[in-house]
Amino acid sequence: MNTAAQPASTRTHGREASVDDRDLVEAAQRGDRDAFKTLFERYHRRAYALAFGVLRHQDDALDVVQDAFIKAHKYLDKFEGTSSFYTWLYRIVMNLCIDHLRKHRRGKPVELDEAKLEEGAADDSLLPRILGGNPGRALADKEIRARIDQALGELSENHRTVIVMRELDGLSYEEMATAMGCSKGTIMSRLFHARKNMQRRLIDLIDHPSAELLKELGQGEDDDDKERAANG
Amino acid sequence: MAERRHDIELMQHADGELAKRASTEVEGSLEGDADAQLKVEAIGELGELVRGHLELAADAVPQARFDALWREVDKAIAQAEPSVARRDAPVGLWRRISRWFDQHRSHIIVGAVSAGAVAALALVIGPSGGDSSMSTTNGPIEVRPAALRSPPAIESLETPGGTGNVLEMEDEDGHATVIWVTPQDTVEGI
Repeated sequence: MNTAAQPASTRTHGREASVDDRDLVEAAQRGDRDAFKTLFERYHRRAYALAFGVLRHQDDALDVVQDAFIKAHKYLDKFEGTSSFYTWLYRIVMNLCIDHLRKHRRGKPVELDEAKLEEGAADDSLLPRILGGNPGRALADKEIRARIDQALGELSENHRTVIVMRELDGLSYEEMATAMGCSKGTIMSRLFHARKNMQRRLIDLIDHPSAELLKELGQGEDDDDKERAANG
Repeated sequence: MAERRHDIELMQHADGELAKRASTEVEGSLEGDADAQLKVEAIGELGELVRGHLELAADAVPQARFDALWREVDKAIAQAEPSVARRDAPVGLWRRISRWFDQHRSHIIVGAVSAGAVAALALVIGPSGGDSSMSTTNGPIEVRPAALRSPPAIESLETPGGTGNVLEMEDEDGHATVIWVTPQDTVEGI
């Protein structure tokens, strides 16, 4: 897992942020409820981001986070500290998400040849196109965020799950394969198609960027400057 | 198909999933291939957009929702704790014996079989004569006299239907009188 990935929120109230997770886990294992609350405060938003990314529904994601922390506390004595607390919690959240998807799957199950189900399968390559500039600034554009949200929602469950696991927490192909109970090759294929389909759903944003985006990226101002310079 | 394979290799490179040698080769091929460079950049950009979007979505949830969620978690933990306490509580004697038996079942069986074998062997090769020195419980009980200061004074006594003796004695507890009556129709000692 990519340990460099920052949590959505690391706010802590009960204890100082400097207290190590391992110490908190040991204290919680001895029955210190405040220690467990601090772990909750550290990771609840990060766990929520994962659950929301996979499930696409706020209440479902909150339910999963709640169940995940209850489960984590229940089995805390089995946590041996071979991985970080978040990695362990991550697996619990992911398993609950996958269970939730299985239980609430409304459409037909995903077919084996997933590539053929998604639009654009015939054009089997990544696009050499980027928004350019600063993606962080681009995210300030509500339209872009709405489009990303829509594009994620239109992916198949399996494609969405791999792209969320990879992009949010930087899981390796091997870790994703273990989490999803499939081969590394399947993960690679799903990730490739997930990215390709996301790109195709967002391409018009690149080809026809909104004025707001251009402004955010600083390109609009450059064009204005050029126009002013051309006009003397 | 070849382009797809090449793109997957680019993706593996961008994700840090290629072995060092293969990654160096891809790195070298990128220098003269603007499209490939853009594809690798696009993978990184898409990743940032997805991650940023999900983190912002998480931060948009009001803290009150998570506070309520913690209360539910806390309540569930509190409800689960009695069962944890029960699990840690001291167990009864019978339960401990059962556990000990379960743990040492094999040792007990081996021990019992060994003891049986030894007993059987003792019966086969043990002493068969009647001069065993083991049994001494059938002999008379040794009675030690009390520590008397002076010999007891004994007087005979005539009673209806029997005879008797009166014993007057002084010991460390003081003066004592013992009247011993033996009926004529009984056998002494029974």
